[in-house]
Amino acid sequence: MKMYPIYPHLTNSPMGDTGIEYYPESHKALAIAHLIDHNKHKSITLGLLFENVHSIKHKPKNQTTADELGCDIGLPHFLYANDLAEYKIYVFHSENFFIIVKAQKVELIEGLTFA
Amino acid sequence: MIETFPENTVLDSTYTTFTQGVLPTTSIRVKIDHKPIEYAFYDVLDCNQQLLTYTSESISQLYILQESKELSKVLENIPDLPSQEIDLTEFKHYVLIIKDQRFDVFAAEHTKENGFLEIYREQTLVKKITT
Repeated sequence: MKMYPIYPHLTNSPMGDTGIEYYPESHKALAIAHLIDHNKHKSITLGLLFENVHSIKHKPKNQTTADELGCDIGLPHFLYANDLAEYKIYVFHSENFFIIVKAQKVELIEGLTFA
Repeated sequence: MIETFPENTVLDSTYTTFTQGVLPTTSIRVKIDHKPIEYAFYDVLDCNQQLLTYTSESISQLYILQESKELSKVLENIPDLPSQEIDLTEFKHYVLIIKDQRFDVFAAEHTKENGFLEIYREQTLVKKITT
């Protein structure tokens, strides 16, 4: 499984806090994170809205998990995905953890704050 | 076994925070007899949420899995957190099943509180896009 960055202009900010909330009734999950937008040359707060969520996991960031996911432990970018037909595996990360979301779609949402 | 839930228990939402220097916290919010109850798990080393095939015989419950091989594997790969002391003996493999949702949570402790601690859904935009 090969992962690729789907928003190459977004990288984690030094303050790598993030969070994810899951809503089973709508099968959606929302992650909010502080990121660096290299197009706008500034740090921003962005939402990632996942739709038709099948599963969510988080695992410590180490080489074993990185190898299983097919991504680099260095992870310069914020969000990665693979190319499965119906569902994609999306991987984003905090300082010490991979967050792995199996879903059909993701969308960037502006105008949110990280409480 | 910690708790068995009545038939009308529903999963409302889950929330996990990842803050620099400390282990994550995962909250699982359920409505039991229409009352909001939040189960918070602290120092979560690993968490898997998955859909199960729901049958009428499925039991919604929260329990600690004793002698968990998965927990042993998780404890072999703990993250290096210089700002937080980690006592490996504190960690447990919690299993929370609500109808067709199963959560395997590898955490040091848990609490049960009345009401939901809302963070994201206090924002009008979040309510709009997540319903």
